[in-house]
Amino acid sequence: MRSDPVTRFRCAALRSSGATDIRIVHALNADAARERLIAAGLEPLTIEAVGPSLTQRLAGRLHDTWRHFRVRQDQIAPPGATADATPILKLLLPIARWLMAGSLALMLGTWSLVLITMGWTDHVRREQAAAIVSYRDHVTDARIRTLAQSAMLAPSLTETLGHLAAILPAETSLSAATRDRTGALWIELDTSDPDLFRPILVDDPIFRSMKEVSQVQTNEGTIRITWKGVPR
Amino acid sequence: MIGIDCISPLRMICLLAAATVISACLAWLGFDRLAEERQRLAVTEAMALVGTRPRTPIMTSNMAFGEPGRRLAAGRFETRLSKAALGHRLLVERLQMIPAQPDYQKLLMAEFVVSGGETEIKRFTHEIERGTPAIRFESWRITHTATGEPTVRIDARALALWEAGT
Repeated sequence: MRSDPVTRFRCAALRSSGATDIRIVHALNADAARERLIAAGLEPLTIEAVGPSLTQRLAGRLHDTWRHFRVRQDQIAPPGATADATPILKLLLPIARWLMAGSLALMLGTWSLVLITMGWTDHVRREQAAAIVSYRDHVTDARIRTLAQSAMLAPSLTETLGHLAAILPAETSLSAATRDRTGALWIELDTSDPDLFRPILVDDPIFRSMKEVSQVQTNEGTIRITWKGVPR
Repeated sequence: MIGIDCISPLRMICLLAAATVISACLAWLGFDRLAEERQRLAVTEAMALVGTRPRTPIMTSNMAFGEPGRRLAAGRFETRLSKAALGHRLLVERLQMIPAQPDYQKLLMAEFVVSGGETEIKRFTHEIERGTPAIRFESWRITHTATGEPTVRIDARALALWEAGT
C-alpha cells in the first residue's frame, strides 16, 4: 500500500448564493484544499481528510501483488539460471521442444495440404467447366427420367378403369375414382351389399393392397365404400 | 528484447506446452478442413467425369415430342388433347398448359377437365394413353356428374416429354 494515501478531503462549503455544497478535493494537505475551494468561489465550512477511494485501493492491491510475484520469480529463477535448473526440468525441456516442433510441423503440413487440395479443386473446376455444366444437364435428365418412369410405369387410367369394370359385380357401381401424384388410388363404390365386393378386391392381384377407409349410407339407400391404396 | 536464456526452464516448458496445445488444435482443425476439401475435390472430379459422357435420350424414339422448340411441342400436345376430346364429342370444360419450371423444360404438363358419356370418356383416355408420342395422366379424378346419369367428368393432369430431334 502507498505510504501517504490521505490526499482526499471531503469539504463542506457555502456557495455565493448561500447554498451548501459538498465536494471531494484532492490536495496535499487541508490548507491546500481550503485554497482550492476559495479559488473556486466557495466559502469552506469543514474540511475532513478521508482515505483513498475504492479504485485507488484496488489499484494499490494489484500493484503490491505484481511486485510480490516479481520478487518470488527472481528468487526461484534469476536471469541466466538455466544451468541451475533441476535435473527433471533439464530432461523435460528437450521433450517439450520436440513435442512442440512435431505439433507445429503437423499443423503446417495439414494446412499446406488443405491449400494444395483447394488449388487443385479450382484447377479441375476451371479445366472441366464445360463438363461440369454438362453434368448438371445429366442430373436434370435423370430427375425427369425418374418422374416420367413413375408416370409411365404406373397403371394407366384406361387400365385401371377397365380392370375395375371387369371385376365389379353387377350390384356395385363406381361412384368416383381418384389417383394423386404419389400414385395412391381412392375408389368410391356404391353397393347394396358391401360383403359382395370385399372378397373380390382382397383377392385381386392389382388391388390386393387396398384398404377400406370409410363406409357411408347414401340417399339412395346404398352404401358407399371408399378404398385406398397403391395398385400394383 | 528479452533473451531466451532469461526465461526459466519451468516457464519455458509451460510456454512450449501451450504452443504444443495450440498447434495440435490448429492441426486438428486442419485435418477436418482437409477432409472437407478432399470431399469437394472428389465431388468435382466425379461431376467432371460424368459430364464428359454423352447424354442419352430420356425416352426411346417416338415416345417424346420431337419438335425443334418447346412452344411447338407444347402446342402439339395441347392440340392432341383437345382434338381427341372433341373427336369423341366430349365437353372440354378446361384445358390449360402448366408453365415449365426452369429445371423441367423437357416436361410438358397440362390440366384439363372434360365431361361426357362413360363410353366416350373411356375411348378418349384410351386414345390418349395408347398413342405416340406418349401421354400419361399423372393424377386424375373421375366422377359421375350426377347420381344415376351416365355422364362422367374427368379432371386430370396430363404429362408428356419433349426432346428436340427425337
